[in-house]
Amino acid sequence: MALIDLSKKEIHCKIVYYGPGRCGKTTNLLTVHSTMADNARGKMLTIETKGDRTLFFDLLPLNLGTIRGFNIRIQLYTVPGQVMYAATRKLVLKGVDGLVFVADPLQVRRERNIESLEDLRVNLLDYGLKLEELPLVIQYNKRDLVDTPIPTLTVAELDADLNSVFNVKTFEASAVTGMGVFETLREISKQTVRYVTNKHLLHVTK
Amino acid sequence: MTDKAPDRDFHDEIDDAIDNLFSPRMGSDLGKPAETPSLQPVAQAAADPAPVTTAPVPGSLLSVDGTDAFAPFDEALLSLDWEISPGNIEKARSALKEIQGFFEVDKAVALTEIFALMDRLLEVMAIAPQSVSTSAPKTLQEGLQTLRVAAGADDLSLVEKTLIDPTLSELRSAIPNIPKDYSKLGQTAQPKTQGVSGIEQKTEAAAVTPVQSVPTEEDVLPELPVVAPSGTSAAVLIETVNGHIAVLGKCIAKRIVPIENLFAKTPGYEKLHAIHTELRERMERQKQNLIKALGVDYQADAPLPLEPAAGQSEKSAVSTAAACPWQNVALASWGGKKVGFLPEQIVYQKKPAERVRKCGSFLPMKKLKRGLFGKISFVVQGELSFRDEATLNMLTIPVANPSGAKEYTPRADSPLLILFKENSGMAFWLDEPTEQFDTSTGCRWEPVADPTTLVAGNLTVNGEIVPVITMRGM
Repeated sequence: MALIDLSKKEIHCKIVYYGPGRCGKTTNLLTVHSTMADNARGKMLTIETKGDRTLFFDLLPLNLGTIRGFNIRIQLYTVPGQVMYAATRKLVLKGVDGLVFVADPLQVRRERNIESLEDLRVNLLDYGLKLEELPLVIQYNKRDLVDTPIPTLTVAELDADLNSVFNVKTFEASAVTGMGVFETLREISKQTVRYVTNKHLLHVTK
Repeated sequence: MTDKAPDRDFHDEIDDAIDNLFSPRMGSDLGKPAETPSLQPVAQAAADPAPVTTAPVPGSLLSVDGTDAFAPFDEALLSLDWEISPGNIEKARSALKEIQGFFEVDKAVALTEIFALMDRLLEVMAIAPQSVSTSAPKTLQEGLQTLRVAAGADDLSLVEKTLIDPTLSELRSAIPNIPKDYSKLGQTAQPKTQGVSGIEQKTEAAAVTPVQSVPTEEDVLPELPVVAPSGTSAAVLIETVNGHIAVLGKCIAKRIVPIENLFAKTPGYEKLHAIHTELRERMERQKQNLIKALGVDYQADAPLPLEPAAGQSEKSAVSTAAACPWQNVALASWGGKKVGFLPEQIVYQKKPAERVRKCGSFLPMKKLKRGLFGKISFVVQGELSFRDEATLNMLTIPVANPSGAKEYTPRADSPLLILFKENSGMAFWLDEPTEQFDTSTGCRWEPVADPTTLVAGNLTVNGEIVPVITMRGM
């Protein structure tokens, strides 16, 4: 859930990068982290458990600056994509304000994309959230592979698989090169901040 | 998500701020896909290992049909990163072996340690996935990148310091609890001796072990004694191993399988379920290994080794047959045969009203009500007595049929017994009421390993075999 501290005039929004394992969620965050100015980003965190299997998510706070006295911060998270980390994925989704679904264009991962989107929908329902009501953009990552012999899905096929129901904005990207990463982030950031301020009836007067 | 008019300017300001923050980062510099890194500046590639990109495949590493020899392993890693399963791990290990086969002999020898460590990491992922970092697939991916670069390099010594050594270090650190017995992995998997360079070690390894295949799982399993004992010691050993097999079977059936089933149907416990599945499979493999080693000496009905209780002499332990897992069993005649039930699972045991006898193969619990305003919870006990009345009203229990015929009609005076555990139950029309039996008075217990049957095991009471029926396998 977004944190709105009226006394400190701070708004924190939580955006989660979701998708199947190895689709490039963390690479998206690494690209953002390495490209942003130091004063606009925080420390990139990797959370690990002790003793048991290492579980992780990445947290990258971005500072939008002060707008009408409100300090707006965006926190970016990723989740482990592997099937066996269902519990962790669900935990990271708690309080989510906006979502980027990162799709893997490899043909061999087609079913995994669909499964992951369904996994996202189900996990949100457990928190009483509907995917269609949350800010969502879909990123078709690894587009740099299109020109290689590796079999990939076309945008039309990805649209048919993942966006026929939601009809949200999609972005072609290549997280390893940076292409499309900030376009995706810009769109979801706008949608999320609007969603948070509207949801919490934050009326700001000049 | 529509904007409210008073907030329009505020949102515009936010949009502007976001544009200002991110727009400078969008553009041609980042928008163009990076060129695939060349193999020539190897040192540069090694110094900047992330992001991992796909290096071109040298001609020698192309299969006969022109496909990339690394592709199957790459694909296997993708599957592995999605799900660490025995199938995916096996697929990756096979693909890794294939890659090794594609290398020229001298390079394969020099890279044997990388192959062995990658295979070991995969093996550890199979044996104890909970102990492996989630970054393990990425480490394997980096290992693969190193192999790609090494395949295209003219001289491996040029990339040893910058690429091979860091990869070996990464792989070693990714493997938790490097095997207690290094010899099982072959000489090449041993850590470097101080003062000996990697090249020297590889040369030694090449001299000792020519192109060595990656160790299989059997290689790291405990080896059974090669020298067979004879006479009395052989008989004792055979009896001990048979007893150990029986204990393993009991542990699997009574401890592991129920917990595994419980985790399987409990949301959020996927990881523990996977761990228990792996544990069960390992125990079953151990059991099969022991059975295989015993050969004709294996006794499927071997008694469990008797464990004397604390403070008891071994002699007294033998007489009390402590191996039976329950102190008391309710014995009864069912379909003309003597059977046992667990008292704690019995939720109903009475002679019910006539209408209950006509229920057929399924017994609606509401038929057990006494009178118009009676409640089911008043007539049941144990676990069911805690359920709310609405749930009990909806509950229907299957009726076990001792004869196997389609229709079974109980006698007019047959008592009804209902077993219930967790969400499973079964009703039995008995020939006579149950009698409590104290298993410590002397009996033999033989567990049944099959988790799909209701019979947990057989008690031998005064020479008569009495199957003990429980709800454990439902």
